[in-house]
Amino acid sequence: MRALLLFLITAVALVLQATIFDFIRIFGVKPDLVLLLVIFYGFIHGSKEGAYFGFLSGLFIDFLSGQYIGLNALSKMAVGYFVGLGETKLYKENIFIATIVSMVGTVIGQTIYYLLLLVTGIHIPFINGLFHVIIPIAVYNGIFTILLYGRFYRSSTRGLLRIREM
Amino acid sequence: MNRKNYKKIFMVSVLVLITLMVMKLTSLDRAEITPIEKGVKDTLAPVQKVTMGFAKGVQNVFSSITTYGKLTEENKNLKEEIRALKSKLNQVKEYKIQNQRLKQLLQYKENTVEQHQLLLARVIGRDPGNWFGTITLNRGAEDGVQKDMAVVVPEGLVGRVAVVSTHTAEVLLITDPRSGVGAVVQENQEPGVVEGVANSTGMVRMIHLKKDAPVEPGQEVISSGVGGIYPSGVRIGEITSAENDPGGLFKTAEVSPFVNFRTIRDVFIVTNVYKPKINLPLEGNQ
Repeated sequence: MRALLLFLITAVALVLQATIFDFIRIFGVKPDLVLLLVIFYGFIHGSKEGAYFGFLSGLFIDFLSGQYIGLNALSKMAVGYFVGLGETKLYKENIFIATIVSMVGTVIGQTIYYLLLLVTGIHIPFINGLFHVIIPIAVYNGIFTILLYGRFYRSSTRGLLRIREM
Repeated sequence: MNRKNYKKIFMVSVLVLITLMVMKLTSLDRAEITPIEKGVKDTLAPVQKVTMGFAKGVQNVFSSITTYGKLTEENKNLKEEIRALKSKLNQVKEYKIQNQRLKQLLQYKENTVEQHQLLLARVIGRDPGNWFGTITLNRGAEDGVQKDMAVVVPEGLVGRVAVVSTHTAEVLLITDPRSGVGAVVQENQEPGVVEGVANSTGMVRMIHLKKDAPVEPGQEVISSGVGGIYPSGVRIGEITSAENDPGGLFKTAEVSPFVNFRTIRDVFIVTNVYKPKINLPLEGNQ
């Protein structure tokens, strides 16, 4: 049930990004909502779960686009892992901390994505990548954290997205 | 660190390596996609059409929200009538815009029909990310679309078909960092290559210009036809700045494309380019 719900949320986020958010860009970019989900999930449940969800959701995006399969899977897996390291060290109920974590996580994720693009032979000038893509997305994702994190956190600790103890 | 941890690290490394290999293998250059991918793309097409329509609806709602207040019955009725009229007017406006757009397309088609055979297609989806720039069209192999066909609008060059499934085609925009178009500066015929930066910048760059090329802001860049994919003479954009590569032999120019890639809804796929017959003045060739 939880897995199905996560899958549905990811799919909806992806469809929104490909359609509606194309019309409401800020500084030319749209938010990376799936990455944001991975960050929330990893931050609340820890590195292992974060990496796992990051890899699977990334793979889902890669399969849909059909090119460079693994690009999103690897970058999102790494983000899920890194963000998860803060699970036991940071105060998860504080929305301010969650926003900082989201923005830092987005910068890490997009930078890894950029490096993987270099590995596959796609060269983008770093200045352009940093100022026109990475930082604007981080800001946009930060705004969405303020709007969505509380809801996600409550659902993950008390609602439908809660991991049940075995 | 115990044995179990080593095993874990080993497994993760293998996973990462395999993924990296798959990533290299599934680059955009492969000739054809697998039947599974084709199936996914064709199944998703109607969903994308509906969500795109919904997105447009949301946009329309945002732009046509009118103010209401607590008023008397009569006032309320009047307002409602105005609202109904306004929404009708909006609809008329929408028709007007659509009419203008289609007229423009038709005129373009009439003007260029002598050189190019064109197929009208509608945009039904866009790349969900920020780095790449691709759009999905509602025409596919069934309509005669093939890989590497050029895509244009009256304003200029849009891109080329990169992936074809039965009912859809994915177009690589010229703003995508994987795209490269043989181009010349119209005023002085200086050759170069127009490549995308990151899609969200909305800019393209003209690289491999000669270091002493007389390139200035304001000059127009058109496609040269070199490379065989894009027809020659299609407008691309206007140069906004130019500078020498650090330590290199070349010059790079920033180009602002004529096409607004965020608002395009209908495009033409160039399905055939008619080559002009050149009769050389040879003996017996009257």
